[in-house]
Amino acid sequence: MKTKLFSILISLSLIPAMSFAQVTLNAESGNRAIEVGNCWQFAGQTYTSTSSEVLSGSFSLISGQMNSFSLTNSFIKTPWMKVGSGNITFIAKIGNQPNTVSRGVRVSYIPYNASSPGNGFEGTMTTFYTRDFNVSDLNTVTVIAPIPTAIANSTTLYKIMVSFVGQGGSGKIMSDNYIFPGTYWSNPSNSCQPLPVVVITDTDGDGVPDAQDEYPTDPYRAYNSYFPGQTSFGTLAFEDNWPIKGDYDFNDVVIAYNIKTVTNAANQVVDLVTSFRLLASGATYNNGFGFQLDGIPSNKVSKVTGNKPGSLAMASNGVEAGQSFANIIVFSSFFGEMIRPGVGIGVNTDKAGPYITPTNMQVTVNFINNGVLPPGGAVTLSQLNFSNLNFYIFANGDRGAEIHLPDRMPTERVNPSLFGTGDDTSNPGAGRTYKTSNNMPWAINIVQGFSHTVERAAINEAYNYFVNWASSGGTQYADWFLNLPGYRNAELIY
Amino acid sequence: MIKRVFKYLLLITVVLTAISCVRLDPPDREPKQNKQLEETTVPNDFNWSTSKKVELTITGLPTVVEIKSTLKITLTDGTTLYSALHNMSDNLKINLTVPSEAAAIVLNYGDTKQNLPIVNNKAEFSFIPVVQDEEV
Repeated sequence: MKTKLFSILISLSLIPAMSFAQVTLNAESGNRAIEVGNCWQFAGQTYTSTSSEVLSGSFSLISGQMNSFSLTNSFIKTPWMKVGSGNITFIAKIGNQPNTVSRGVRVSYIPYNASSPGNGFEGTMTTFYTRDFNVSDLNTVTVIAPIPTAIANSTTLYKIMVSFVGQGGSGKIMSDNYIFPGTYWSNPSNSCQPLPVVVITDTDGDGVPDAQDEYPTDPYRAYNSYFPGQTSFGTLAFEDNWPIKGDYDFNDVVIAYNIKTVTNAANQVVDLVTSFRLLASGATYNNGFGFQLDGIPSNKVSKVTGNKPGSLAMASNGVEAGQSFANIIVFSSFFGEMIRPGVGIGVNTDKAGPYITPTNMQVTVNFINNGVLPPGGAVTLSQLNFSNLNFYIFANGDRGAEIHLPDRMPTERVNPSLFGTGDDTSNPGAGRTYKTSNNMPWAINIVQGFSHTVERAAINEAYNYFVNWASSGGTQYADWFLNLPGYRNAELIY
Repeated sequence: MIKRVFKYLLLITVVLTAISCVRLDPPDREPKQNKQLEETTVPNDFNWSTSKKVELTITGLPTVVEIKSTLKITLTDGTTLYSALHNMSDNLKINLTVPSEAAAIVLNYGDTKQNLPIVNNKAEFSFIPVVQDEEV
């Protein structure tokens, strides 16, 4: 077991900063929020691009009016840093306004204090440099503040605060080109607390600390993403008589699904773990079930395990042969996986028949096999999400009789001559598939899960607000499938 | 007697032949009138799913040093939808599918945890903080 230091990652990232060993501020981002995001703090200071106020480049810092000698009225404060040695330098200029009495600058250091979280871990401030400007000198001056030996090259973390003070008149102070010898040591992702200075364990050395790694001892895996959730299942419900309308009981094939996407530290998909629960089939047809990974070429899959494609031809990597996009045949025979009890038409749609325990299947699509990429290369998490999963059944062993969710594209194995026949009004070329003339589907997807209907009970008879949901395009009664008072007719639910 | 038997046999044969010529659709294939559904007008673009797609846009912060941490996107009930290592400086677009009733998703990164409302199937987050203009 090897232990690596997560801080190595940070150290490598710091090399450019360390080579310069200085923390700088020149306002050239033009957006003070970027510096605030990087843990700089400002009070009574903003950026200016007004040409008469800019001292260098396109932007400079400008104070408010000076009416106080408080160090906290107008200041800039660095992020946490490991202070180096030498001089802190910047340029400054007093604005040309009448009645100016005094203007000055103070430079202070603030040590890190682990016992004062309520004060941003800031310890007691010590002012080590004071300069009062000649108010009649309106030229740009260079301020040079030597770093005190007490903090120079210390391993302790400090912030440096530059305060602007003064009284009288409305003259502001412009400043720019701040250079603070030392190394930036703040973490913008962690409330600007110091970067890790302690050893963070990364047992498998994949760059993801154990505390964040869901596979801390597996260098090839790091994260899990889920749909619809870690333990929850969605439900697919099909009619199998396409292209002829069925009886709309949507129980010819009913399958619950859960999808887990496993990724590595590079956010490449390692495994797609698909869990299916065969709930019911109120059909005489013996249907098959599969899914296409839309847009994912077949050669990007290393292997498929746990599926039962029967006699259908599979490629050597387990996807269906002859398909451009990866197709995974989960099973080719529903009743091969779930035996019909002989009462009623199929399985679990007739209350007079025995309840058959659903069959669970877990099919894993492996993309990166022990760190080895497939011939087609890696698939990233951004390229593969739930919307790529294009589920379908194929009716009664006829591989070409594919039935998908509405407006999902068929695979290359579909029998295209079926489109536009019977009650189907598909026009795949125009993106329209698996709909009747009034846009009724042959399949629905209830991601929250769903109790299917008994045999021959149309879904709108069992669920009172199904039609409201459909006719409103999903905006009304989006919870039509819930078991709420008045929502459904229990005798029609299996 | 033989004549009578022959008559019966003939009758049975005719009846059996007649029955065998009738195409009996399997029970689940018989067309069943469903006037309500057949008269329902459904919007052409309805996807018949109780989910919706959300495009999450993340704006990165140009950082002084490389900051990488776990970016986790969840539903408000804590259900993890997306989990990956993310460089805080990078811009990112994530396509998510969420239950149609979800009004927000939650972004977790470092010690940042923020509810992001879903508006018109989009959600946004920026690592660049909102800074109020200073009175100067």
